[in-house]
Amino acid sequence: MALTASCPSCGAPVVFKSASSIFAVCDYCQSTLVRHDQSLEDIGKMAALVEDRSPLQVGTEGSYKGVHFALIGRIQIKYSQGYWNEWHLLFDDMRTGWLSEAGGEYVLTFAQYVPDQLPQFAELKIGQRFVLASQTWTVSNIESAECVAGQGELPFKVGPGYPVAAVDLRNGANFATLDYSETPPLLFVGEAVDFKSLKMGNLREGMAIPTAIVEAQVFRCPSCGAPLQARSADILAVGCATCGAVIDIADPNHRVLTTALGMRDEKYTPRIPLGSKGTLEGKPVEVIGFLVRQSKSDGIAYDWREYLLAGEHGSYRWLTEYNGHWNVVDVLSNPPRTSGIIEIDNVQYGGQSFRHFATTPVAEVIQVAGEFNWRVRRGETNRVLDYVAPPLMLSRESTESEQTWSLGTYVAPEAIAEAFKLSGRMIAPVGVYANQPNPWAEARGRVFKLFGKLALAAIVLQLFFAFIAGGKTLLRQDIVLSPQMAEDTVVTREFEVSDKPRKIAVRNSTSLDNNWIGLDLMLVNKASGQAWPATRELAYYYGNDGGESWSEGNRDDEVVFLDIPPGTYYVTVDPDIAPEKPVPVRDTIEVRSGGAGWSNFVIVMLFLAIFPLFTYLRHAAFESGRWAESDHAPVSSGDSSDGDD
Amino acid sequence: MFGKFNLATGILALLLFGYAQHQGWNLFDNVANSGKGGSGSSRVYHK
Repeated sequence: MALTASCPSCGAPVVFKSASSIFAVCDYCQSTLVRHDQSLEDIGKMAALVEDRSPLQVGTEGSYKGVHFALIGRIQIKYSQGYWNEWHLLFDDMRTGWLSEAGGEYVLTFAQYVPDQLPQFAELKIGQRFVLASQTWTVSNIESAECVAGQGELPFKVGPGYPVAAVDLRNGANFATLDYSETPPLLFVGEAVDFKSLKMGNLREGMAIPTAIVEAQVFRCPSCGAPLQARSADILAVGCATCGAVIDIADPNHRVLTTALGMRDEKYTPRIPLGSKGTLEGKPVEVIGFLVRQSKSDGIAYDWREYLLAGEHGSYRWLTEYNGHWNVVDVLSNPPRTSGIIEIDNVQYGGQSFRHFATTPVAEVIQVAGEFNWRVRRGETNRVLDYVAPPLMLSRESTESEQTWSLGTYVAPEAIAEAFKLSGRMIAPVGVYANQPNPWAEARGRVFKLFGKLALAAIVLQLFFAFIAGGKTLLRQDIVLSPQMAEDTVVTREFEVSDKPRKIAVRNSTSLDNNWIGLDLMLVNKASGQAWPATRELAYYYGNDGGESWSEGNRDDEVVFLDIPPGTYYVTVDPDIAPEKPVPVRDTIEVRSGGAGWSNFVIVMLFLAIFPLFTYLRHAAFESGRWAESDHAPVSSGDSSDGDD
Repeated sequence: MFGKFNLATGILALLLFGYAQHQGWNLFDNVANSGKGGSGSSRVYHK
């Protein structure tokens, strides 16, 4: 039941909607009030909230998993990279929860008691894994922040400078925070939530699609005097495009975070000018920041460009470019689950398996221009792991205090040029990029499918000619060729060759046994006497040599006569028996017409295989080019011998 | 374009294959005569 009392400072009514709320900040006089049964104690004025672009306010309502809630309080927290809000929620079922809001990302958590001993704040490290509340968590962020101000009803005392030592934990889509500002620490468990899914109403007027709610801060670069601006309170650092100095916007004196580029520093020009507006995936974006990162490997510097894009609802996206290859990148609120033990293991995300591509131990920011929603500095470094499933790339970036995952999607340079209406600025991509889609992937599948169909058709044709439209047996006759008939000629029975001129095959299947025989064959047309001769020699030897069986030659032979006209035919056989072994040889003469051979089938199959083979090789060459740039490139023999040393 | 070229070439290859099979052409054959209308290597024979 709600408790209403009067503010001891100004008399305005103060309502405690939640029984767990102990503190409240008077909406009218900003007094911090402590609840004592039916009375309130004024313990001083609460500091003013820093203006931000949050579309939420105390009184905003929504629903989570079908339960209605209202925002009844708020803590604004300042950390190294800016501000975030912790909104105190009261659900209709009287539960209370917290909605964390940072950089357009929302996480909803509930306090959870665990009997487990919680790890000490100082013991935790980024990427560390441990089991808590029956889940395996990975430390994703360690923050020593401080409270700026409170608002509305809160379950504990807050005030400016109130320390907030917090550790964020991830387990896939699940999220937890260990709050070390209390003893023992508090555990909050929940999940990242989509703003729209909360179906929130009574939002700040004009903030449903946030626009700049503060006047753009316009000032001169303290280093070179060039005019600069920060469009909103989200912007914490501005890089001077003229001199390269980076300025702290939160500092009233515009402190220089990193000095101007030196005379010898290379200065990069953004391929998409700062301030360019465009449409990515149907949504408007504006390029507000540009930075260049560099990594070094074997003394060679590799640098890539990153563009910060301001989008709708106070959201931010990134464009990255390396050697003319572009990616649209989004920071993931639901990072993938990983084993956390072996970094080069595949990572599963969104139903896809991402293969480790490369680990960049040190990626350093070497140039900054434009506006950024964190205190970016030249010289800041992080460690980057890339995993690819073209056209997607998962990247894990980690520092001493933070670990973030992002998902990049490869975009053709033409699409970037079209999105920002650029002309003549894009450079042609060089080489193959990590997550560049293989242009032969689709063609390979299509050509393999086509080859399958054509090969099947060839097999059907071959079977048709071999068994249906193939040749037929015209004669089959057994004869005996004996030494006594050396001077005689054996004449077969007659047979008919019909239709048009055909191919006639004469096959001799003999009973040769370590012997040879010469056969003078003659295919004779009975009517015209025209004859087609063929001389064949058959030999077949076999034996056993040192326990190994051997054989050579063949007992069978086939000879073909082409373009034989229709008519009645017979075959004459004039044998030449081996004088060294004058024994009778049995011979089965078989005469067939037509018949499909196998050579054409082999030739057509080889020809058809050229197409899939070609696309396979092109596909493989592209993949080879991709992985040659990775940590998993094939090792040359020179490298391996070095390794052996 | 590439796909149509593949398809057309593949179909042409199948047509040639079918024709060659119908004609009985076979590279693996031991051919006794050069095969021009029965003349050439043929000769008149009487039993």
